[in-house]
Amino acid sequence: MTLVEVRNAQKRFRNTRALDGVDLTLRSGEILGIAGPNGAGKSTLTRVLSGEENLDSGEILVDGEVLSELHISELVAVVHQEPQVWLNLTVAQNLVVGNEDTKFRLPTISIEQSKVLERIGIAHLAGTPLAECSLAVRQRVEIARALVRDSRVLLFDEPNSALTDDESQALFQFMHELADTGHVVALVTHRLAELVEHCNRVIVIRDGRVATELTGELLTETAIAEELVAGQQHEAKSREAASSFLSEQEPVVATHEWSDAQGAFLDISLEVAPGEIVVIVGVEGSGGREIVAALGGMRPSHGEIQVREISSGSGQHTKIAYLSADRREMLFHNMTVADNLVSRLGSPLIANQFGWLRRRNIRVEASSLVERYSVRTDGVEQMLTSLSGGNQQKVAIAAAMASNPSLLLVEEPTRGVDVGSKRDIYQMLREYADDGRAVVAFCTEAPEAFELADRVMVIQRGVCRDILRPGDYPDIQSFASALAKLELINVTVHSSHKSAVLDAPIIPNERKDPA
Amino acid sequence: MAPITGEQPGTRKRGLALDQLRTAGLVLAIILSGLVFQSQTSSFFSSENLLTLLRSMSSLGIMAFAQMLVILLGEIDLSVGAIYGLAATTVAVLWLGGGALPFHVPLVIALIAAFLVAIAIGAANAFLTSVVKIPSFIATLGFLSLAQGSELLLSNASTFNPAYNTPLPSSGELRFFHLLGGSQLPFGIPIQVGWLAAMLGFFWVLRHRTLFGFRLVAIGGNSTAAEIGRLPIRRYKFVVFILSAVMAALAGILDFSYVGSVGPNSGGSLVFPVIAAVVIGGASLNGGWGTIPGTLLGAALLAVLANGLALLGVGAFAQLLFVGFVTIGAVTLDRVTRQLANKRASRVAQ
Repeated sequence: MTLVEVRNAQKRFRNTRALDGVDLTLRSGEILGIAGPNGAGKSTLTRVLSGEENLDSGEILVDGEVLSELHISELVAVVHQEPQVWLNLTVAQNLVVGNEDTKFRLPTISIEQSKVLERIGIAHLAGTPLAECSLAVRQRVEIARALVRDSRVLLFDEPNSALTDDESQALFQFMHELADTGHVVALVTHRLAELVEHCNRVIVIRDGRVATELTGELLTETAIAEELVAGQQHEAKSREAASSFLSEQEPVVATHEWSDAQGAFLDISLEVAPGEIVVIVGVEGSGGREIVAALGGMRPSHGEIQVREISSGSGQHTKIAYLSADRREMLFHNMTVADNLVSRLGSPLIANQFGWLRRRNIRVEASSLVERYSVRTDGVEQMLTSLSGGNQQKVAIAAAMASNPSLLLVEEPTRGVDVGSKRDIYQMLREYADDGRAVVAFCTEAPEAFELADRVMVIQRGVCRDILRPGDYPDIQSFASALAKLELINVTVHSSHKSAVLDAPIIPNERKDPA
Repeated sequence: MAPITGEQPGTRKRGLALDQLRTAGLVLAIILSGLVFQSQTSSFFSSENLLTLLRSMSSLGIMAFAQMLVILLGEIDLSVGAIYGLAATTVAVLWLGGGALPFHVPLVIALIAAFLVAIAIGAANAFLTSVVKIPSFIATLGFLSLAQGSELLLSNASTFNPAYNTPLPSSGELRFFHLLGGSQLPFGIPIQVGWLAAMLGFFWVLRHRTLFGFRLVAIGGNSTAAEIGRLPIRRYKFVVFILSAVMAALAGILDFSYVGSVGPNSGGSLVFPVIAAVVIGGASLNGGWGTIPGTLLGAALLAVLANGLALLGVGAFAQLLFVGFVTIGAVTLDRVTRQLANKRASRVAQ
């Protein structure tokens, strides 16, 4: 019997409170579900629970004893979305690393360790290099490592986002087994259906606090969905007028039977009119993210795609600008706010025809962008790193908008951003679309899609499952439950095709492909 | 997540303040070591010695400016020393005959050929780095060996001296060749100091006043963001690697002209001080950070040490020890200050 208690946990990163007084109890024998919107503090909580991150204040007790981070990390193991294992070693060697039990001799796998491999069903792959194994096998290796180290607490962080249905089912079955054998098991996921199906208890984290705890009869998808979106105010929107004129104009981007070269999505037909924001919604691995990246030219694709350039007014014009989900991938931390804002521009805006930099133009242009998009800064000549996360995000989006793309592509526009900045960012994107440009965004959260979109395209396993118009729904709750229902259908339909899950190592696609 | 409002004074203009601190520290180090040498030899601060010092840092400085741009991009060019030697030898062999070639050509053509060789090597370095995507450390290490080997094969490892060559080149050509690197400007300033000043101006403008320099900082700071923002990464890499190779060739030819002769493997020991000067000058090998004034100061510090130690009569071997200590010391100091500044900034933010 193990009992983990978190008391008044507080954690702050530079400008944001990630955890703002979390109280939480985990017991062995049950599966605890952890849900929450992006940026609510879920991942910080996981890192704190696993000892990867220190708390600013508050404590973690295991069986009534206060433990240091070091002890916690021995006791708690995380199973990541992307397993943290060694691809250059075999399955067996992966188990041995760090648990060698030898000083000079070449370490080999012990009897207990091979028993663990047998228990989780990958003993026949012991000698296979992990690079040749499927993601599911890699994940099991990570679980096996936790078991070998005798971890009593296992945190599953979005564990099945990239697994097939059969692999997911097997994983959940194993999670139940772990709980039954006295382990503490926690599951962090976005998928409401799975939380309801597999968890005994679900907590919803919002703004760094535990907003609610749901058990028994109260634990339903609708209840979780409502809790996820509660506390976010919404203003009445006037998009009725917009949607009527939309269809009459020639689309900015039109695709027809358009597919990803690596099979992430298939036969997508999408038209986006000037002034329209289309949000693509899908869970991780659904192909939604890849659609946006491929539209941005960051992934190879085939099929029909046409992008029309809208030129209006003066200044620089580009066809397409793309923003990835990861802020670190979009910004230059070695440069000032001003330099970041103009980083996508060129001659004649920030340099003359000989390439001579126009410093004054940069300052003027940057200042006007800062003002227009209400970036909070003490001056454009500050380093980018002095801004809060939300304001850095605004800088990234403003920098893309500065190049006047006809089609603006954004992945998760408000990931890891505070509520105030979120609203600013929605407004930025709306105003940009209202200028007669097209915006396509990928979102994982129902409230964001509701807030932002004229149309929502729901992607599942690489195909368009449905198109929703947020304008057809009276409020966010009904929209969120409509989305959740779409997901529910998916979950109940899935077991139609059975295949052997872990019979042979699956060689990744890129290896098979001679090109 | 709840935002925390209000100013964070510790993070304000952090990069700029650090840069200024570093520049001040370097200037101080140069002056201090100058004073130490002056107190020991009393000839260090003579105008004659200072001109000698400036001349001696000319080829180091010219190569370091271009190397700084390479490092700013997050790459490195280890082949510069070998290109330095190969360029000088190419001029010598083509112009004077001898070596492995049965013919010789006018000086101007030999000079053009040497620069074309350098451009080819620079382009090959960039091709391997940006198209084939080999790490530049390996690609340029390979060309270090290739260039050195070509130099030795071309020259048969012999020494060339235009003034005592048979057949003797025309006096016009000899005079022109001497003019390049061995002559003097008004006030007794060596012409190599003029070259250094010209290249300083050129690279300063390029790095600090043009769109090119602006984008180099961006590409070096975050190549993924640069790709997403559609900056011309590949083209910039070609330009920068070619510049680095051409500057190495220029330095090699100028030194050949100044010394009056060139022997086998003349630039072999240059790659370390060139990179050291850039790094002492505050550039980050991860890319994204680096200035021309900093690089100039880095080269100057190394030149002051070499010059002063020579005045003191410390042998060349002991000088190597000093250069090693100074390089490691300067970078360690920089690292420690940076960490302290970061720590202070995050404490203030809390």
